[in-house]
Amino acid sequence: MLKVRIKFAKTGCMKYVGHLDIMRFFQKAIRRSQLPIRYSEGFNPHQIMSFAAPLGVGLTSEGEYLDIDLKEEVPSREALCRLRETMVDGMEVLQFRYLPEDAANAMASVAAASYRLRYKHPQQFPFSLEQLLEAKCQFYDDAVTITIVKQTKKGQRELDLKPLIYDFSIGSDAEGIYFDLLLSTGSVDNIKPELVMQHFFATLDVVPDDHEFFIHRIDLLTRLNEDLCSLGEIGYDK
Amino acid sequence: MITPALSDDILMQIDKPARYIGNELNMVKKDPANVAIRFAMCFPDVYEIGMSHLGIQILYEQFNRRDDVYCERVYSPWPDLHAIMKEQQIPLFALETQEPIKQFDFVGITLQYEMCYTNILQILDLAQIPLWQKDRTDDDPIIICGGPCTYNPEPVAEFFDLCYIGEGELSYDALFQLYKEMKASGQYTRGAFLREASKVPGIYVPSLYQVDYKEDGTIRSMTPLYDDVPARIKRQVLMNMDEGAYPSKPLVPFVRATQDRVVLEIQRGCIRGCRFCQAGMVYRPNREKSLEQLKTYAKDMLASTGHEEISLSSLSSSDYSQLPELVNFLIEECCGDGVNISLPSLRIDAFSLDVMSKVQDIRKSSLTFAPEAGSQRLRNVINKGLTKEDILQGAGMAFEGGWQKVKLYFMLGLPTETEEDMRAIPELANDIAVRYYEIPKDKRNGKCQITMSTSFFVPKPFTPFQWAPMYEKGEYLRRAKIVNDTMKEQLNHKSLRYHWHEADVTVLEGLFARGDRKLAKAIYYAYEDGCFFDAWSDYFDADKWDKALQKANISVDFYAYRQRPLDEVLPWDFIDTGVRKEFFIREWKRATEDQIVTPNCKMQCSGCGAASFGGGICVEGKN
Repeated sequence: MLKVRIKFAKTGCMKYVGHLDIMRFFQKAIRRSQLPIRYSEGFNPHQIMSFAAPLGVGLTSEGEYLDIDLKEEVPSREALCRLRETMVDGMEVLQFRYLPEDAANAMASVAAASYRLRYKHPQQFPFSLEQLLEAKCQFYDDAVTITIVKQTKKGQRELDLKPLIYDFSIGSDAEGIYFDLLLSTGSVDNIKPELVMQHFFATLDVVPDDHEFFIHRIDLLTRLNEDLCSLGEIGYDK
Repeated sequence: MITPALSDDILMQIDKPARYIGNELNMVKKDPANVAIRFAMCFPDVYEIGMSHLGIQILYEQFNRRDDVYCERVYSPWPDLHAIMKEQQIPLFALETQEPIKQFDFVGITLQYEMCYTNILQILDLAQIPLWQKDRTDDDPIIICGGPCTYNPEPVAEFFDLCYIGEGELSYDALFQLYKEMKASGQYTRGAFLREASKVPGIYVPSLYQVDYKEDGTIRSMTPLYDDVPARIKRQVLMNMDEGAYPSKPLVPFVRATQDRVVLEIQRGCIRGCRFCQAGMVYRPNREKSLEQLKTYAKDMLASTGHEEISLSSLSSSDYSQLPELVNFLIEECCGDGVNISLPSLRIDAFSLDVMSKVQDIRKSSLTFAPEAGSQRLRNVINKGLTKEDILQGAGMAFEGGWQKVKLYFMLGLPTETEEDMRAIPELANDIAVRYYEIPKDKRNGKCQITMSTSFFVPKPFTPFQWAPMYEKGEYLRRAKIVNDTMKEQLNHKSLRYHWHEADVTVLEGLFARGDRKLAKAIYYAYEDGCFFDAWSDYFDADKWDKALQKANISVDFYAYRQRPLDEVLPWDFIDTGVRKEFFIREWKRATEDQIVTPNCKMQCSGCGAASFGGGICVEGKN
């Protein structure tokens, strides 16, 4: 069996296309590229395809992954060319790597995601970098626990964010202030960057609405011998 | 990459923002600075519906093949975005460049059904273009309509500068040429252009005609204002179907469209001549595409879209002369590797059952019959050749082959319909169930399921039934109840199901289908009062429409419920579809007086007039 991991970026106006539509987009793109993908058995065969972690509407990313099964080998470079020819603006295929036989699928392997966030309306956040760094020190660096109440389907439950935020830094460049987050992601503890920002800014007496930040996913990571490593580093070109 | 016209804040607060960003696969990109004509092609309904329409994809391809034209698309913003655009005064934009359509040269609006008429006004309103034709200036785009409803454009005529009568393949080049020349020479004014455009074949310019009415409200005359404006408009027909543009690289939307598949148009027109069917009359003569070309398109379109399904489009696919060859080609050369064929409603016979068993899951799929009327007498009246024996034989073969589900489509309210005809609907369904239970128990698969659906008949222009009366809502529902009650009396009633359409919009549809210019005010008032997306039951507001009709002084009696005399001047009489009025009168009499069928075009020519086009079935049928 030939397992392949495709890495792609989703930018620009493509961020308004939802996850289900992106799945359909890739199903059609793979048929257009005529890559020899494997189909399931049965009367309505579907492509063997799994996405790592759905990206919400409104987010951009340069580190998305999907796994497919091929019936026969196609050189990575050629496959990459064929897929790239059939993309649209804002969708870019970055890697086409064959996975080892025993590799876990993309969805099961995701352990963390890295993000960069920026203000959509900077005027609503009148804080200097120093103020923010100081607040972050209290909120994150010096905190032993960050206890929040999370609304779930079954009611409310308490959750400690501290061990689920693997990294939190704030910086500033020509475009202004940015927030870098490395967060636990996956089926067990899936932490969204908006949630962290909400609680962080609460310490500054600001309650940001949903969609107050431009959120860019930088990468998805998996755990390899206790360390986090990019999903894109698994496997090899052929 | 193009920046969306809508801000991120707006896109993040509306449903399905991907409807409004363009950027779809196979979208045509041009530099607007390098074209002479910018055309906004509009389907006045939500994106998913509009993107499913084949006609727009054909014209999109045809227009964009010209270097001097950039054709872009626009659809009705959903009510959530509509409210925001109104409030913030955001001008309606085209998907390709995301630029306001008010700065375009043309806005083309396709009229596929009457209940989209308020959405025409929504488009113009959001685009910030004057709603009434008379209020537009030289700086506004030319607003043109096309599509089936233009066979009676009169209810919406005063909103349009031009109406295109017939198939778009024919006259757009001449129209664009004229526009370009007038613009280049500096002679362009709106008035001068419209006057010249009226001489282009198939182009109707409503503002150049005077309509006079008699005291009883019927039309006395409709006359051109100038001698050089033609009194009759001839429908444009593409005679060689292999010559038209066809989108071998159709657009593939991100949001799942209603028609999420490759659509292969195999022919236009229909040989059958059902007397209620406007499409069967106004698209005459029947013209086929060649098998070879269809094979090429099928392969190309699957390759360029990556769609997992291909379907055939025509009014009656079973009548395509090389259907077995085409279907076998699709099964052998295109199917497999995740690509399916979705078959249109084929006549049920050994061939179609064989094909269906290859491409569908028999246990899940159902057979479809459209007898349209329950009794043989009424089927003769509507000229539906299908007999009870045909249906029972087809169903029988299918049941033996493993099928258990049958869908039946009927109309209620057809001319001459009696209670006996209504009762015949569930009786026919029962007979089909009886046929099923004739199969020995050990050879059948449990119970069968026969589903009947009825819609209410709406008389349409350019059909033999164009003079027929409609009924009030209560009467339609009474008829549906008779069907429902009779169903319960049937021996096999547990195997039967019945659905009927809502009657609310039926009368309104009929009103617009056969209305005249006086209806424009009602549409305007209705839109002003908040009516749009009337084709969507969640948004249709019968009370608001009642008010609008009253305010515009429209008598539903006059337009819908009255039997019109055969010598009355009809609002659409100025259009020459090629099918003569004498033919419709003859057919009306054969239907209502003699109650006999007229042979189809393959069996015998009935002299409808379409032979004047000099092609298609009219020529092929005669050696």
